[in-house]
Amino acid sequence: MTQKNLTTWALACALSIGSAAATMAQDSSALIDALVKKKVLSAQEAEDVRADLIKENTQTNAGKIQLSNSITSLKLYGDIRLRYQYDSTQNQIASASNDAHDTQQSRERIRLRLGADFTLAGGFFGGVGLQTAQAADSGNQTIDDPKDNSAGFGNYNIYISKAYFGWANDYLTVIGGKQPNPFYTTDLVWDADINPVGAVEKLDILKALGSSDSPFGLSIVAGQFAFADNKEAGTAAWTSKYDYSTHDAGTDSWLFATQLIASAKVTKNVKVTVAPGYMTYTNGNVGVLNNQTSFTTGTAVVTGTSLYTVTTGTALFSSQRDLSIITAPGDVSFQLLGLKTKFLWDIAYNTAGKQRTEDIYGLNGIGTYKGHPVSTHSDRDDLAWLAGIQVGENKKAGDWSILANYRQTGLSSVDPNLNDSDFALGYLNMQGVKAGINYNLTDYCVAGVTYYDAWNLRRDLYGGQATAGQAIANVNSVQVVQVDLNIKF
Amino acid sequence: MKNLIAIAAAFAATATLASAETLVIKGSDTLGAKLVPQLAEAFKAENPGTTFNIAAEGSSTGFAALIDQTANIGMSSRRAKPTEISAAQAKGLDLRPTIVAWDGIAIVISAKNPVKNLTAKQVEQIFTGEITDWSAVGGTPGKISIYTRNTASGTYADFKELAMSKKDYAGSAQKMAGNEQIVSEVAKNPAGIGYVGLAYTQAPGVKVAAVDGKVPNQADVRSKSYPYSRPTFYYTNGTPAGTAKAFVDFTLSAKGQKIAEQVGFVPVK
Repeated sequence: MTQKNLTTWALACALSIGSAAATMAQDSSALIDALVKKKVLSAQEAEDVRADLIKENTQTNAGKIQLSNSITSLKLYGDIRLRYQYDSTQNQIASASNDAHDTQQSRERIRLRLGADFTLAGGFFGGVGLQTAQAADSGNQTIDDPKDNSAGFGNYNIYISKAYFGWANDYLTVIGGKQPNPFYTTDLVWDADINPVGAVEKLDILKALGSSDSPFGLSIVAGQFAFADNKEAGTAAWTSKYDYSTHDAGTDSWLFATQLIASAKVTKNVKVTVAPGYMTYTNGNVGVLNNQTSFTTGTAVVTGTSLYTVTTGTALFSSQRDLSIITAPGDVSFQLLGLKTKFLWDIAYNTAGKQRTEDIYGLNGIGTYKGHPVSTHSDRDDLAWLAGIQVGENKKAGDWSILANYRQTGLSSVDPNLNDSDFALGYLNMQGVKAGINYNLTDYCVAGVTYYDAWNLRRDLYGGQATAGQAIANVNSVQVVQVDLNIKF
Repeated sequence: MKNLIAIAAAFAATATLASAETLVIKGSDTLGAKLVPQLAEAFKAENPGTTFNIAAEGSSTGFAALIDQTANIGMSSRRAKPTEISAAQAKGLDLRPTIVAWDGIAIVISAKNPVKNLTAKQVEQIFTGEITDWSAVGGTPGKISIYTRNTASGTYADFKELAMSKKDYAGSAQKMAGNEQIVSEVAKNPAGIGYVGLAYTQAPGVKVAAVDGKVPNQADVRSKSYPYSRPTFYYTNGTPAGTAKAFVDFTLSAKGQKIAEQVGFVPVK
C-alpha cells in the first residue's frame, strides 16, 4: 500500500466514523477539497472518498431519508397527552332527560399532535399539523367513546390541524392557510387549540423603520379568516327585517381581526406588553360546527311549544352576526424570587352586544319560558374580562409553574365558537376561576393539574338561545378537573 | 445431464457477448455529444473488434441505465446523487466514479450583446429571475431570454449548485435538450443567455461572458479559480473491467486526454 493510498484509506475511515450523523458526506466536502488543494489527495482519490462516504451515508437511518432540495430546514415535532377529566354541571333549567339539573362526567382522554415546520429558500416557510379529534377547540379524543365508535378499543381518526405557508423578511410576514393563531391573546377570547384559516399579515413597524435594537416593540397584525362558506345564490328571499337566518344564509362568514402589539422592556427583567385590537364578522349563518358548546344556525325557536311560549315574533337567529368586539389583552412580566412571573389580563367588549342579545339570542322580553318571562339585555352581557398571574415556566426537568386567574364572560361579549372550551365547558354568562400547577418530570414530560370553578354571571336568564334553543348559557355552575401527563418529542 | 446443459448454455452466452464487444455508454450530453464519440472512434481504430452504442441524453439517464444494467459506462457531468447510489446498492451495484476530464460551465450570450462581464451575483440573479432586463447589468434594455439544460442534465444540476446557491431557475427559463441547442438559440437571440460546457463555446454567433472578470480557460478550470469549474466522470459498476476498463484507460491515456483537450475539455493531468 503506497503512502497516498494509506492516507486515502485512513481519511475515508476517519470521515466514515464521523459520518454516523448522516450528513457527513456533504459536510466533508470542504475538507476533501482542502486536502486536494494541499495535494494530500489527488482529484480522483477525493472522488473515491466522496463516493465511499455517500455510500456509507446512504446506509445510515438518517441517510435513507430524502428531503426535497427546496427545503432549507425542517423541524418535526409532536406531543402525546393523557388526560383524566371530571366535570360537574348544574343546569339552570332542567333538560328533558335530566330533571335533577345535574350532570357529572368523568373521562379518560388522549391527544396526539404531530407537526412539521419547514423553511424554503427565499424567505418562504410553512407548516403542517395533524391531531386527534376534529373539534376546532380540542384535540382530545375520549377513550372508548361510544359516540365515535371507539368503544371496545376502536381506533381514532386523525385530522389536519395546520396547513399553511408564508413568506417573511426582516419586518413583514405574510401567511396563508390554516395556521397557528397569530394574535397576542388569552383563552378569554380564543381557545388555545384553535388554528384559524385564512390570510395573515404581520408588520414589525419599528424594524420597518430601521430600528433593530430597541427596548420597544411595535407590530401590527391583521387577519382575514374564512369562518363559514355559504351558498351565495339560490337562498330563500328576505322575508322580514329580523329574518337573518334566511338573509345570512347567502353570505359567507368572514372574521376580520387586527391588533396592535406594543411592548416595552422597562428594566432588564420587567417587560410590559399591551395589544389593543378589534374583530368583527361578516354576517353569516353557520349550519354545522365541530366545537365544544358551539353556537350554530340551527332549528329556529318556535312558538307554541310546551317549553317556549312566544306571544309575538319569531326566531331571530344567525350565529355569526352582531359581533363587533374590541379586545385589549396585556401582561407585565417580571422576576419573582428568581422565577419568571407574569401578571396578565384581557378585556373583550362587544359594541353590538345589545343587538346580539336581543336579536340573535332572542332575549327580547317577548313571551315566557318555563313560566318565566323571557329575559332582556343587560350591560353585563357585553363585557368579558380576565385577570391572573402565572409564576414559573416549564422548560426542563424540575421546573414548575402555577397559574390562577379570574374571569367573567358576558353572554354577548365574545364569540362562543372561539372561546375556551375548558372554562365552564365553553358556556357563556359565566364567571369563575382557573387554577393550575405543572411540573416537569423530565425535560420533555410535564405532569399537571388544572381546576376550573365557574358560576353564572346573571341568574335571571330565561328563554331565547340562552336556556332554550341551543342553550349556550343554561348552567348555574360548572366544575372541571383535569389531570394531565404530557410528553413532547 | 441438466447441469451439463446449463454449463453449455452459459459458455455459449459468454462467447456471444465476447464476440460482440459492444460497449454501451449512456448519459451526459456534455461528454457524449462530442468527446466520447471521438474517443470511441480512436479506440475502435486500435481495437477493431469493438463497437459502441452511445446515447447522450443527460447524466441522469446514464445513472438510470447503470442501475438498470443496460449500460457499461455512465457518462456524467455531475456526481451521483445519494438516491442514485442507494438505488444501485439496492440492486447490489457499486457506482464508482472516474474523473475523465475537467470542464468549466461557460456563460454564453449573443455575440451582438455589448455585455462582456457579469458578476457571480448577477449570474445568479439572472438565472433565478431576479434580474429580468439587460439594462440592470449594463446591457441594452430588453427582456432577458434564459436558456438552460433540461432536468435530466448534470449541467442543469451543477449550475444550480455552483452558480445559483441551489435556488430554483426562473419560471421563464427555456429548457434545452443539449449544449448545442443552447448555443444555437443564444446565437439567434441578441437578448439570450445560457450556459454550456467549455467544449461548446466556439460556435458562431455567441461569445463567452466573463464571470467576476474570469473567462474559463485550462489553468483557471483546473485550479478551480474559475467559479463554475467541475470534473466530468465515467461511472461504472465497481472497478471497471474488460472492454470498459480498456476504454476508461484509453480515455485517461495521453492520447485520450489529447483528444479531450482538442474537443475543449481540460485534461485531468
